[in-house]
Amino acid sequence: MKILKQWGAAALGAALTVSSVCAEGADGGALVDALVKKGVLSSQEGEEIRAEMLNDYATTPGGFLSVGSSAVKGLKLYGDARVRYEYDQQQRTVHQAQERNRNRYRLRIGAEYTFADGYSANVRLATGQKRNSTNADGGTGNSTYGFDDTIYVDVVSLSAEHLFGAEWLAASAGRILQPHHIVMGWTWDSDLTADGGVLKLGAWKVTDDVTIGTSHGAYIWTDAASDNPFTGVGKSDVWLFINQLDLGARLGKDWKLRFSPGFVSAIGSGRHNSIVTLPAVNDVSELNVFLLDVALDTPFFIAGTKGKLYGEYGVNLSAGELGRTWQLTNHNKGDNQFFLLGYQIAKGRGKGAWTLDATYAYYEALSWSGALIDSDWNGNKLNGHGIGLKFGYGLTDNLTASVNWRKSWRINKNISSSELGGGAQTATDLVQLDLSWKF
Amino acid sequence: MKNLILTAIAAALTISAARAEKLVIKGSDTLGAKLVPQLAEAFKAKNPGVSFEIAAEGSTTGIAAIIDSTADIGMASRRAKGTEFAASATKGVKMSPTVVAYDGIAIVVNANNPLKNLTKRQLEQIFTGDVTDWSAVGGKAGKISLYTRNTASGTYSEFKEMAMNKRDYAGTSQKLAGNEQIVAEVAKNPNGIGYVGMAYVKASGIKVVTVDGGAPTKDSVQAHHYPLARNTYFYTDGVPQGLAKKFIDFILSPAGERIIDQVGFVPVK
Repeated sequence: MKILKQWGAAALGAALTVSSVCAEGADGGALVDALVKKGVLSSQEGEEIRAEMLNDYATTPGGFLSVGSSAVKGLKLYGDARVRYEYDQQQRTVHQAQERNRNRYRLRIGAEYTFADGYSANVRLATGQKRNSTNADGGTGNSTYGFDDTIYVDVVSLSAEHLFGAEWLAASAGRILQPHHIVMGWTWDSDLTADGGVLKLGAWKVTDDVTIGTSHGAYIWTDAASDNPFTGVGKSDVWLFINQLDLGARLGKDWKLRFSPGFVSAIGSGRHNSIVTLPAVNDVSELNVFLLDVALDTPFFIAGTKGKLYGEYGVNLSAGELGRTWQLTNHNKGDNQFFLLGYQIAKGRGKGAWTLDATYAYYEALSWSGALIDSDWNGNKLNGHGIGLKFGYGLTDNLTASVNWRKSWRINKNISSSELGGGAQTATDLVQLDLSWKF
Repeated sequence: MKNLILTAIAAALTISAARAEKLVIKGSDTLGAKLVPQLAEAFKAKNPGVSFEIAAEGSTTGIAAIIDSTADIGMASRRAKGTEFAASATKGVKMSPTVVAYDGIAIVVNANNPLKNLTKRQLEQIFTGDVTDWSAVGGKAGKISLYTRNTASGTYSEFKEMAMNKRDYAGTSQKLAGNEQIVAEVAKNPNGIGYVGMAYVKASGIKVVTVDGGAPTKDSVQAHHYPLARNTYFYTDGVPQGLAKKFIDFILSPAGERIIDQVGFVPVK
């Protein structure tokens, strides 16, 4: 009987070892535990099988990956790669247009370490060398755009799920993914990360269907190159503060609302401060934007699809200051509002899934920051309104093909685009054909 | 003549040094504070010339010592984790466990606490901080004081796994280095609660509460019926050999099991 039991244990061990290669944690623990409890295996036999499996797994390529220390509870490697053909056209004056064709690629590779006690660290590297674009241009010759093939640190952050043990308090600091309810890919460029920290409070349940939370972010927007006034003429850093309330409400079986009013302000100007005038800095904020984001999950009339209506409105209360900085002589008193309205339909996930996104956007010249707005919109400038259509289709579970079309026109014709820095376009067209692979 | 005596002394010392064997054991405080020293004494009595170096600073340190090859035996009151197996593989170490005894994690409260039983769900609520007053779990009103082991302890992580759905401990919990410190603090504090190995429950000033109606007894732990029953381990690099094997064989012999029983653990056989 004993010999039979040993052979049984050995066979089970072999079977579990083979299956453990892709098993998470690779210890088939539940089955071994059950067999020990049933008396089929002794505790010692159970432990030997577990150890054998883990030892074997540790020598496979997946298991051989050491995560640094026993404090690391989990390690997720992730990333994405994208190849893109892009055509854009900018209408300069009547009957005059400039065209551009580009073959671009983007690669991002990240690792998220989860530590015991709810802390995690995230590191992501991306192609590109600038903060506002992770795209690199293809070509083996000289690149017009410089050293595109460089890799830079896109994300490096530390996060706590429950700071100081408080279930309602989460925090992230470092170079982080934009954590607020601001529309990505339009108002906030999807390639832009934020340097600083965010505190998130809540979400608390007000009723069974209503939650409330807040987010408070402080980010260095411009790190002035010489901000030490003791060693010469200094400049002041510019900080971006974002405070937002986040209300969530379930309105019915398929209806869910997210309502997020907030305030975005930039403090500091990056201008020189004289040593003589210390400590007075007298920086005047040029961006004090009241922001309102709304997202509404809705049912959609085609079976199996989901709809989402989203909108954003902002008004810059310091547009006058911004106008003076840009030395815009022809801007109206206003030129300080923006809004965006979109509807997204999605069906399924993975292979065969598709999404269709239609957006109308309207950004007046002094309503928002040209540094934050999506660089693929209106030639990377404000003072434009127009439409965007994007269709994506899942070729496999991880590979997606998409086409993105955007068209925009100038809003205030008295302000030339060159006054906002850059080319003087009056209208733009953009087409992007993407193949994206997530891993 | 003088040279001859010195040579003889040196030869004698060399022979005795060659015969003296030392076993380095590191790891679990649950095993290393009481049980292993008593087993070592009994083993030494039968094997003169053998010496022991025992350091009981938590299971994590014991497993790390096997990975780093700084101990012959790593004591642990929890299983080695997948990450530790991976770390050992990178150093060419093949960790091998031997179950040396069973134990039950006993929940202890102050002797004056009227509470008799807690469910596993209530334990999770108490130790994660979801519940902070005794009245919420049927006790006399009073703010609960939590005493836990420190993060190097196998009992610390095993308790999290077995009783807390792997959730984090409440930020207010006080982390202590050993079972005896937990017992001492709970005995002093009428609102205290902690957990210790079965060998530490006989102290005065505390009492054991049942978990889901089950008490940590020899029978319930041996049959794994007690909800917080667990194995305790000796980890070695590969199958135990030499003096380590001899010591483990002794522990699993009737003489070793008698000591295990006397100290308050449960023998494997």
